[in-house]
Amino acid sequence: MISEKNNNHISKNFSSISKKIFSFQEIGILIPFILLILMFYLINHAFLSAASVFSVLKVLAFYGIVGVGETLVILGGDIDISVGSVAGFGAVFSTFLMMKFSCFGLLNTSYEWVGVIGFMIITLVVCSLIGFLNAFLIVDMKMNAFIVTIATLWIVRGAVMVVTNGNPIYPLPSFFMDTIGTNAQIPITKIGNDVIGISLPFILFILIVAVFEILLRRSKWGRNIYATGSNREVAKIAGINTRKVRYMNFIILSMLASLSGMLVAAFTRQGYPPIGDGWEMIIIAGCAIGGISLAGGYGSMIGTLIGVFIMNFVTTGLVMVGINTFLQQTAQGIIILLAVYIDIFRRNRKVLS
Amino acid sequence: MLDSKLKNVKTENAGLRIIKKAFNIQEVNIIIPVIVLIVIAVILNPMFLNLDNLAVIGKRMSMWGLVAIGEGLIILTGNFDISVGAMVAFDCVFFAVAATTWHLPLVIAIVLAILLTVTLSTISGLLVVKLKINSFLTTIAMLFICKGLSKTMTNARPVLIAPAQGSDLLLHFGQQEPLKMSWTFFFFIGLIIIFQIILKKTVYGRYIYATGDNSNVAKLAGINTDFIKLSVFIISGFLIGLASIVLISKEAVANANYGTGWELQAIAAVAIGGISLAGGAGSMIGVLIGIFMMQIMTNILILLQINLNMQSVVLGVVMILATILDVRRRRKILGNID
Repeated sequence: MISEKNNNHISKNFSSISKKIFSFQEIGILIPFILLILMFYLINHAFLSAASVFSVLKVLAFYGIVGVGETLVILGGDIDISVGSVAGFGAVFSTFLMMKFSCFGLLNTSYEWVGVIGFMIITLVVCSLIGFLNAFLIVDMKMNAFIVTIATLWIVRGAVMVVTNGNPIYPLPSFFMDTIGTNAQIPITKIGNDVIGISLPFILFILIVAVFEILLRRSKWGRNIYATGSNREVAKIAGINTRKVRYMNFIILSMLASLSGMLVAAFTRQGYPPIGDGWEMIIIAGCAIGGISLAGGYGSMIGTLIGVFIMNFVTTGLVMVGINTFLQQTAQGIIILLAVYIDIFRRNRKVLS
Repeated sequence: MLDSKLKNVKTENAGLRIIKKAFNIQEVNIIIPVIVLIVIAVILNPMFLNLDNLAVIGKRMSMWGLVAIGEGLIILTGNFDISVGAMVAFDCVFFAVAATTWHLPLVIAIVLAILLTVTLSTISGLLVVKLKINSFLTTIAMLFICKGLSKTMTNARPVLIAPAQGSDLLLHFGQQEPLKMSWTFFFFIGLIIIFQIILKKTVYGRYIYATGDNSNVAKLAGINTDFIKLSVFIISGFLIGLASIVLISKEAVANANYGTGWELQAIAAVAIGGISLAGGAGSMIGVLIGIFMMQIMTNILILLQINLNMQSVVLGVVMILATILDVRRRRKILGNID
């Protein structure tokens, strides 16, 4: 009997330690991810080369910045499918303003940056109105979030295409194109004539993730978001202003989306209207992979970070391994299904334990 | 005071009530906007009433309308299917490739094409019902999968049907126009009537409403909600297959871009037509009216020669208005519920 007790004690310790390791909610996803990366590397060593890795990091930053905002909205119990078109709008609107008003007449001068930054801020404010509209229809008019944001997607994208006729806005102020765009990086290595480094979007992405993760975990605002997403009625009874929480989420998301769109415009050196096309699904998939429950109230920014990483690295990896480019979309679809299934499996296991 | 309130209820328009009772339709209220819309259309462009134009409306309507019937059923049970358009594209491509590159006889290709969409829809349905994955996510994933596969199979180029054996028979069939209206239109109307009867007059139909209205209560009442939810996916898959074959028989070419936006059009039509997007209320006649309105609106925009991009703006606005109507309707029935 005594030896039984001892055994129980030892095995309890062991199981509690392993529970601590494995209960890190994102671990479930990391293992297959790391295995996949290894597999890609073995098939094509170029996959983990500096050029490849940093380029993927740059691309995933664009999705990731929006993903942070989308995570907030989903955590709060809603969803926003219009983000891609808001990014495109941000890109086009900001560049249009910059060129139309030649940066307050400062174009091609050393004070050009005032105009650039100024118009970027104006674009952020205008795009927050789109978020406000979404929030109004979803929160106050009580409409289905999917339907509203799909409609907004159409409206914004259609409007952008109508106004620009599909023509890109080019050229752009050099401060925008060069300083914010192509040259904005911490150089790491040099390959031929190209300097590879950690790009500005990626730095911004990590910063934004860090800031919002801290806010989510440590502030009342963050706790309110989780509460609203978990059970809106109870949150309301507890005195949380769920309306304000949800409005803020949508507005922040729109601002982040337009920021990302502007960064893309800076990098591609033109205000290209189709920017943002198809982003929404990749971003939501990234969130879903990262463990954000679509029902709301569960998940973290770190999860989104991992999800975005996985989505982009796996997609790039598949291409580098030689899978038909067109199958990329198919692969993304399968990844979404797998990720969501793992998430549900994880959640059921937690409930059972 | 109560007396007078009761009196008011009784004196509701007797004519409307008779029609409502006769056809068991709650959507009589929607016919008015349809008539208004037609009047506007004629005012904007008298060509609208041109028989050829009406034939085009009927033709287009009957293709994505088939898909909308399936979508309506799925929404009635409380789910969504966003992959419908991509499945049509994939199916068309598959059929074209099967008939030409793989040299399969026409009939076999048709059967396989329909089997394909049924299988894909069944997979979606199983994922939603058994694994309890959110239907939006599942069907978004399915959308990606189908889009990717159709692009792969075609190498992003359209595939002609002509070289297939028996293709001329299929195309001939597709071009038939009894009464100047494409036969597909009559086929579509027939299906609407059949499904309306199923929904309103059979036990299965009532089970669908029950499942959509309150899945838990329906389960407690002994209804196999899993089966109901899965069955509508399967039916929808079958209808999508039909729609794809019809589309191919008309266009003679398979393009990976077919069906783009069909799912959203279908959802908008369903919302306009009175099927509550929360599930559990509405009917096929309502869907028909919704489809009709959407097609008329698209037609108006085309007759006015409005830019395609502007069309999507208008469609977006329409969807929002339709959903506002839907919410108002729900509130009237259920009271002010969040």
